Amino acid sequence: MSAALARHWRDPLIIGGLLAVLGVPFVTWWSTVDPVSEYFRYAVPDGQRVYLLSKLVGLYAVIGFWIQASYGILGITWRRQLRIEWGLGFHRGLGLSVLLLAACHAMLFVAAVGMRTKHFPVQYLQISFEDGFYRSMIALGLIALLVTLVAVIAALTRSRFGPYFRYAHWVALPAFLLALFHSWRIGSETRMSPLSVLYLLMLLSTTGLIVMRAFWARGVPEGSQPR
Amino acid sequence: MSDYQPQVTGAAVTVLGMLLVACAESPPGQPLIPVVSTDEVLNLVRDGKKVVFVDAREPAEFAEEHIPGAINVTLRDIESMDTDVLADADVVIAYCLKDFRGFEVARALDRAGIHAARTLKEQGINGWKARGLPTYVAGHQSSVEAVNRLRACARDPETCAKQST
Repeated sequence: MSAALARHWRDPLIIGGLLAVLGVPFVTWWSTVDPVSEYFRYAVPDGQRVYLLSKLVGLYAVIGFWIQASYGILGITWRRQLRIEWGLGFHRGLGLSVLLLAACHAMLFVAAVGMRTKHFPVQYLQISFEDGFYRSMIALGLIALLVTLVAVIAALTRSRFGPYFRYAHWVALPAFLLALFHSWRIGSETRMSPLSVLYLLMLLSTTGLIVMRAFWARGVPEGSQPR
Repeated sequence: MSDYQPQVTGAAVTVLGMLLVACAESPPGQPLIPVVSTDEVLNLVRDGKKVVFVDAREPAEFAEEHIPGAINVTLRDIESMDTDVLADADVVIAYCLKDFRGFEVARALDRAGIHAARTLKEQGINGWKARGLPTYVAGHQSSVEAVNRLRACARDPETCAKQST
């Protein structure tokens, strides 16, 4: 964790905001599984607990992605003005964590289905929009994961492939919007209050930041744009 | 690299720890939600019992295909739903594709006082269809025709399975 971020742990607004954002998914998920001890005291179908874990990990992948996307869109100039500049280490760490969480979410889901059906569910690793709503939504999630991987690779290799390669990293934004849509449409909890409010906030804030950034980039002289 | 290692390591350790807990073997014995086989369901339908199918999937999935006569209740709907419609049912069968969501809905119904909530032994609508049992498919037949096909299946399961294959 960067020293700049460590300084902000004393800022009640930052702490309160982070706790609220990180607490809402857990509270909403918990409300559906409580009392969780039942899943360990009684016999439950194979893969059920792994499926529940997959859902929780998926929620945090989206929340982390939102923080990461907002941090990236703001750029270093606006981040400094807002006094939330936590350094490249924070951005890289969170980005890799989001990729890890998204990959874990997908793997846990596939594992849960495999445990349930006793077959490796290869169908969920294929992108298909012709097999109904559920498969289509899973395909969107898979595309979001693959595009996120491209964004991470672009970020990690930009120094080797020249300055224009940095723009490939911006595919993270459509990846986030796809992930948000996938999560909203397929997840039961995502339309439960207060998580639904957080999802609306994520959509509006990200869209607003993209628009602001686009206008800023067109309206100010070269060199003073947010980086 | 060392600047962001703690975040990634923290996320990995948390997920792995939770996975270990999630993968712990389920204790043998009393199931949290009882299961019922499709044969038992057909017997109940044939005997004129009130069997209510609760489709736990999203409305878009329900609209595409569902078990004849099913009602659509997702997990988020249960808190606000009027459970009186299920109170006098002999059996309430919650299902989805493979019964991940179906199980959660059955559990929520049980906690809401619907103790006749069950899941299918054959695991969801996929298992139902694998047994050759009828479903309502949008645009293929009316809901009434689908329910009548199910009743016919309950009267003569063997013929029903043959017709479907």
